[in-house]
Amino acid sequence: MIVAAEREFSIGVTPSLARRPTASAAAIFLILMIAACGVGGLWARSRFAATHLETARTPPTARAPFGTDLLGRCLLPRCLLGGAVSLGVGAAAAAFSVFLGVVWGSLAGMAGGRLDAFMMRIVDVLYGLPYLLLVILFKIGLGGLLSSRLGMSHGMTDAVVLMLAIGGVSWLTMARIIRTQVLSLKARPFVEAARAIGVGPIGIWRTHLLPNLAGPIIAYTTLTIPQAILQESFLSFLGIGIQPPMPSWGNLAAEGVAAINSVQSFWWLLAFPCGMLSLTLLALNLVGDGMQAALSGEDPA
Amino acid sequence: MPARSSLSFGSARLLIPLVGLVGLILGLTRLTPREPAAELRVVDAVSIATLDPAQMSWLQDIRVASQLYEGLYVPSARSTGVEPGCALELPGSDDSSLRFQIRTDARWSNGDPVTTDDFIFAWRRAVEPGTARDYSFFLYLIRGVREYVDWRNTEIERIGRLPPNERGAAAAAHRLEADRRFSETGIVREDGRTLRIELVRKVAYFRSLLAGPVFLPLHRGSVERFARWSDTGLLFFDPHWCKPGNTQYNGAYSLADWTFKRGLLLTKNPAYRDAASVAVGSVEWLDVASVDTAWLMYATGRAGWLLSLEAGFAPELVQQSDSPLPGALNHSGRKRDDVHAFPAFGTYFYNFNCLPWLPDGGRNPFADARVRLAFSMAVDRVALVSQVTRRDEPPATTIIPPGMITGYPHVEGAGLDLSRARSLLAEAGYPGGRGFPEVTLLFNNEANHGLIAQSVAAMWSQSLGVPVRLLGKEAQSYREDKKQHRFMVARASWYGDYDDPTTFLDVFRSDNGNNDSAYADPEYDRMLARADGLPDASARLQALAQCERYLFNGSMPAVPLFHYVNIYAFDPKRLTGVSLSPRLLPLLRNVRVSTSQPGAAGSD
Amino acid sequence: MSHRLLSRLLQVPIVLFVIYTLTFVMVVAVPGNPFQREGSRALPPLLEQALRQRYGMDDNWTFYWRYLGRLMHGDFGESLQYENWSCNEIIAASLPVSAAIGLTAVLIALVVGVGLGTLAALRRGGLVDFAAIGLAVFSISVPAFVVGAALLILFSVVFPIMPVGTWGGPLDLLRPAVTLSLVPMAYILRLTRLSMTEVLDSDFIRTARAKGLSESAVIWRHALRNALLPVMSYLGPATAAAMTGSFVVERVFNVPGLGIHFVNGVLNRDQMLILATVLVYSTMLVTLNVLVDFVNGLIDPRVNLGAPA
Repeated sequence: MIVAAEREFSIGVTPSLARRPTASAAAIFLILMIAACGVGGLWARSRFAATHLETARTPPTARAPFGTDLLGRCLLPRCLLGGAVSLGVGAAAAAFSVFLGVVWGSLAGMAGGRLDAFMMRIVDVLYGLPYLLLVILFKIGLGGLLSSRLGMSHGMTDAVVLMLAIGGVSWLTMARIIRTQVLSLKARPFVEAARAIGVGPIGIWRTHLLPNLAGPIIAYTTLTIPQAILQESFLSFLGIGIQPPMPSWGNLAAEGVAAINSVQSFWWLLAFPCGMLSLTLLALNLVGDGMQAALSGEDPA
Repeated sequence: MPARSSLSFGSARLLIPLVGLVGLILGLTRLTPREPAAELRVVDAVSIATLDPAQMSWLQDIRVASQLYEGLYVPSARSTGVEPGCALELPGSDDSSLRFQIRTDARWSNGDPVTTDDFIFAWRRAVEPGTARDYSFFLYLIRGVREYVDWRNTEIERIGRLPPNERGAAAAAHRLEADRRFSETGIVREDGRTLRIELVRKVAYFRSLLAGPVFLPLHRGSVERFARWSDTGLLFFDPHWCKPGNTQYNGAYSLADWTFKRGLLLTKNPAYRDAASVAVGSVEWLDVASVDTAWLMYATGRAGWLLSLEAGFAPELVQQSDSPLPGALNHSGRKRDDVHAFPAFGTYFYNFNCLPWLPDGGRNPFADARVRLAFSMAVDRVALVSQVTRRDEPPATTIIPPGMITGYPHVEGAGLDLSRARSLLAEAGYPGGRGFPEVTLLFNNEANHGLIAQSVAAMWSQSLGVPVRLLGKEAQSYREDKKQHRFMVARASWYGDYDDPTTFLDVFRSDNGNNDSAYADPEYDRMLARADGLPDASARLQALAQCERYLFNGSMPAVPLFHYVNIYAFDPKRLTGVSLSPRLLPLLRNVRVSTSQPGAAGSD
Repeated sequence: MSHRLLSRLLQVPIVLFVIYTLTFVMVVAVPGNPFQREGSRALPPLLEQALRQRYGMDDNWTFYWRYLGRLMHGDFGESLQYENWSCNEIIAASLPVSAAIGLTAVLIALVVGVGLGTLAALRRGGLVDFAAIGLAVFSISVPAFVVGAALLILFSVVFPIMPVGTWGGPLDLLRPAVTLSLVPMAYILRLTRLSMTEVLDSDFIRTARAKGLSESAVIWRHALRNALLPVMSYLGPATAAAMTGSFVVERVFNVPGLGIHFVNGVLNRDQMLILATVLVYSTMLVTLNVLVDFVNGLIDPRVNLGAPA
């Protein structure tokens, strides 16, 4: 019922295999990619929709380094703008889910007892809800509100709705991870010691729990951004993600898959967006691992 | 982490659950039915919604029904017209009163003769308030049927207001009265084999309607067992009646098996009146959700006949192949000969919202016919079909596909004319597009609608200077917005239901439920009514052509873009007798498979 | 302990009831008429009213209680889109298919994930480790619809060794299950590698080694069992999700599973089918979650089960 990529669980802490060099290379790649998408996206903002039917489906050339798509639009600016959209949605959704998940999970874990049980049952209920229905409901309810009340553009509305919908689902996993960690940490001697000398709950959370939570938070965040990007691609595949002519890596990849078949393949339509997407996700994962390793070196426990 | 060595965790212990799991998985796959062997496999990329002919409105359902049942008339294999089915029209019939005699060799699959009562039973079922559906209104052309339905509805409502303990008796009395009243309608049983139909007026195309699903007969003896009366007098049928084994068929094939969203197994009906000429003994009719997978099944020889090809690579296939079949459009490529593009009885167009105000309260610029005409003239349809859709579709300036209705002349509408379009827009108060509000273009995110919308939007903004915003929605939201007229321009399509121009022209009548553009023009309504009522067939068609000319040369409730093309894929050397009928109804009874290989195909 | 399990089990119907109620609210709040279908003509209001009556959907309130009553009798209602089929028939036909694929996927994910994760932990920093991490990252970096399409073309067109669009044999199970297993495999691999690393560094393994136990005995009998604990808590929801099907995988490989009905149910506003599939999914999910929490509580005393003992 759920696409495998939809609801994932904790992977906990992942120490780095690639010590510093790989992680730094990945970080540099990531920064370059973000910069290219940001600058390229701004540059492409005014020209991504103009069609040139006569030059449709041209393979990569010097004039159009990524080739042109089915309507003759150059693929390079579309990939860059699509990257800006996807990375933006992914980062915003991850931030949203981290905030909600950390607050909820810490509260439940620290409170314990009946309140914890109640808060976790709410998470159970939300887990069981049909995610797709939620997205459509969000799109219709919020979409109208955002565009009519706040005068938001159509593409922006799509992005905000997707961000809220994806973030609104992935915080559940974050909450469960954080709660389990907090429960486990709470029983450790250093927390009991702190409590014994009269440190309040907020103090314990800030000085003892948060540093230990940072690892899982970062690990999960670096996984949430890719998940959010893939999520958006799945929704685009169903036709409820970012709407054309606005590109996203997700809808460009979905378009690209349709162009690869046993009859005639326009390979560049899949290779460039999917390649950029996969390389970025790879870099995100490596950076996550690297930060993880750096953090675990400072682990006070 | 604490050690717990009390439990031993040997590899033998690990194997037990693993073996159990594998066993469970294999057991689960056994629970699902296996693929049957069939002489021919046909693949359609859409699911069967229902096999109840009275409820059908989807093409894929009607396609199956036309294999299982045979009406008074049947769709022609070659044209949009019809030919006699299981009955012969008796002399003395005219356009307002028709008499039929059911053929003596017309039999149900269990050997029972097809009788007048089977038709009357099925037709009554098709209009009963509990079972009526989209096409029931075709029966309202028969005298007394609409009155019968109206009376039934009022009575059901009245009984529903009674206290529950009185309903039973009231409903029983009502049932008897209902039987009597229905027997007084224009569906007249002269005897067991003779049926008379009296119409409310002369209807030139009624014979064409008689081939439609609502007019198919049902085996009364078996279907009646599934009837249920509610305590308010509503008549329902347990939907299981159309499952295999529950009823009989009078068509060339019987339903042997039906797996949900998987496929049907059709076997030759030995009691069919022309069974001797049916060549293929068993056909597996598969529905496959993904068009790409459906194509691969055909290309790898799993299936012998692909009924539609809505895939992104369809244009490449069409351009690579030279179809040897008469009526096919594609003769360009030389690489293959098994892909056949042919004209369908339908048109792709964009509706303008013709209401004076938009849902957000703003003034609707498209209420002005000059604006509609300008937008229509700014669309380069030739570029659209040659560069975007690329399936050899005929560009359309009017709504009726050319050359398909016998005797109906082809009408040209307003085509590409950019300078005229710009001056019309200026006349309407928007010189160079200045001051024009942002146009929203609504479409459903399926097939190539997005591509078409993006290119038409680009044409409008590049040629007229108006800003266009695309609103791609998933199907249900799109449908809801369209019905509520929450759009400025919306994607639409229409397939003709019968062999007459009114099947298209009626859509724009002000009182038509499918008039999504909310076009209300008393002048057009009058013209159409007058033309439709003309007694002389050829004068009537000329007058109807006048109506179409009026619509698409100035009034423009919609921009026609192109006439639909359908694509079949099959190897013409292995599969013969397939006709490229524009109604898209394949008739298996004419088809022959020249090898004994199951699912013979594959020319990759 | 049994008291805690009992109280968690008693909460299951309450959680399901709340899920039913919230889903119901969403189902009726989403615009779109379930009786209006693509390509169909406008349905006259009287007809629509009769149809609603027939399905016990006269108004939302009646619909809510009647459907709840039917659920109590194990009746999931009718599909509005596919009028000849009841939701029970649809679920009975498709849940075994999805369950078979899902279980195979989880099995593949477990075997490959735990196996490679352990190897990677044992050879930290080596080539195996690098390859394993690479595989994990690749598996979660490529969209399922791309992997599915690639497998389909690869093994049916490039190397025509598998049939397209068939269902019933173990061969048909393979490609859908592999596609579906990639994401859980990546997670399990990373989890195993991580916890295995921790366990191998811990005191009790050093003790076991010092006792002179063979390396394989140390790994099999001590390290792996402890390292698998975190994998357990991931496995619950992952199994529930995998067993209830995946839209993309079912569509690409033409597999008659449940995932496609859920997505199409939502897209068609097939209200009873949505409720039925959501309830099947959430029942499995909630039950598996209880089970996992319980087992975790049994094994790791630090994790309190939540409800007061």
